[in-house]
Amino acid sequence: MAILAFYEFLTLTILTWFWLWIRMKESFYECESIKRGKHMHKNNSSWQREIVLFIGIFFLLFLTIVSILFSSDGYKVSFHLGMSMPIIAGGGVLRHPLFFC
Amino acid sequence: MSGMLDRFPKICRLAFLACLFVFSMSFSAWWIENSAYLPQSDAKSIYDIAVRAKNHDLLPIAPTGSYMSLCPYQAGLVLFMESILRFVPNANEVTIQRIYLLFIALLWISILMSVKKLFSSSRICVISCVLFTFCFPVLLYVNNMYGDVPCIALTFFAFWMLTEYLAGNKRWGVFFAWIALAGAVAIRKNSLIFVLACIIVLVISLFGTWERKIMILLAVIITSTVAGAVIPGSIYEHRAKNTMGEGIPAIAYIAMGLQWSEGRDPGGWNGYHSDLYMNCDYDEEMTAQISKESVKESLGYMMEHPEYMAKFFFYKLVTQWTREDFGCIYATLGSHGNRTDKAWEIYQGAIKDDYMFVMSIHQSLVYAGALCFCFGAFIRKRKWTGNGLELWNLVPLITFIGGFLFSLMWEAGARYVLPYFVLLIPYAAAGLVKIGCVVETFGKNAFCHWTKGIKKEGGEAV
Repeated sequence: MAILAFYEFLTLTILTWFWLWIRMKESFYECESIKRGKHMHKNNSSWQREIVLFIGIFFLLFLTIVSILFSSDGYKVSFHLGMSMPIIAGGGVLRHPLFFC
Repeated sequence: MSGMLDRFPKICRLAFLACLFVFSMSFSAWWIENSAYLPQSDAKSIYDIAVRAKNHDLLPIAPTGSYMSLCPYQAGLVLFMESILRFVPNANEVTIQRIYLLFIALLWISILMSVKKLFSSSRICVISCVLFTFCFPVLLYVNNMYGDVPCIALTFFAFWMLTEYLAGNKRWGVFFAWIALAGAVAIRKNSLIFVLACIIVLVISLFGTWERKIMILLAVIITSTVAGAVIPGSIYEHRAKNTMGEGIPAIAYIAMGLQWSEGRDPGGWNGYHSDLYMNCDYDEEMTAQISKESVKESLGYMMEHPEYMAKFFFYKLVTQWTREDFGCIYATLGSHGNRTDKAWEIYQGAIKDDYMFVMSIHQSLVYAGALCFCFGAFIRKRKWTGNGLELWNLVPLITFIGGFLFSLMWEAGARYVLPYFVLLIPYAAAGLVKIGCVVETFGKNAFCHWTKGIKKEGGEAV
């Protein structure tokens, strides 16, 4: 089972990065940054923001790792990684004009 | 590509959003009708009290011997159910579940509008809606009458309204935020963590500026919270001309949250708090005193056995936060009417694995996406957050942090952490979109560099 999971993970990873490469070739428009963010107050209290983000990183890193490792069974771990990668790393589907600003 | 973009007008995105909305609503409606779930345990006790209250039987409002004596803080949920039973003719359990559908709609719209206010990016809005539409734990909890769905919806709606007021000075935002916050606090008390997050951020923002707008918001939040916490219980005590007592003290829940009973998850429900309260003859002070000793004993044992402590808290977090379905399948499995075969397949059949798989992937995506956002915003600062990320934009994240810490000490339950998971969805969407941008920009630069090299080589050859 472990070997099967490993091969599956490997295959999905290769396919993912191949697909990503294709996407990159196609995508020649500038990345739209979140530049229209509206001001609510003055841009104050930066250190408080950084503390919140740092604690958030700490907790979310823990949850991300355990949510992948502690799925229903070990076999699904490979699916998790393999399936999540195209979306997380690639984000290519998010570049579809349907989602575009 | 820009030509291609032009061919996808705004109407297409709106149509796509409408499809997602219709899917959320129709799936939830289908689930209510097919799961035929009847309330059990706490939800059943609350529903029964609401039915009796509707019929002017207020005997359960008593300091001893009743569910309300143990949990007087549920008066808000009783009032909510009684209101539905009174205002809707021939209402029953399913009617209340159908009302919950409206809260799914409210939550869907509130997420969309909050994200629009926070990030001003329609792409992040759409991804947030996609993530929420496939957040099956929320959709599958729509038949659970324990108040989770209305509480999450009202919390998000309150956040949207407060943001409207802060960003655009819209006064109606204050009015609706007051009602939504009072409702959320009345229905479920874990919305207090959101209230606390708002108060912390506003107090920090208040220092140095003393803006009138922020003071108004603080007053709105505090008064609505007090109203939501106090009014429902007072109404019932006034109607019954009796009291409900103090109820089980919070420290008893913490004491239970630090116990690991055999055959149960660490910190999970084991009946310790209610048994102790009843054994103490509904004496709140005595219960609190014994609970404090229990907490000291648990912590003392943990200090002497650090390995046990690490194992306890690790598994306590894992059982709550990494359960794909957040307990939605198990919570509504028993006690049912004419449940259809299709619904049974989701509960126990072959489709269950498929749903669990989707929920598992979804959960990983939300955590990973939110992590990407936090990491990117921390490292890249302005580049990731446009003109600067305001502290107010992080209120849902602060609520998540509060919920995470709260889940360490309180009674463990996957359902209890679901609201904090939903609050991560906007950040997850922003993180996924930004990661997509980073990878593509990197790819574009690398490809440009590569093609320049080819051209140069070609030029030299010519």
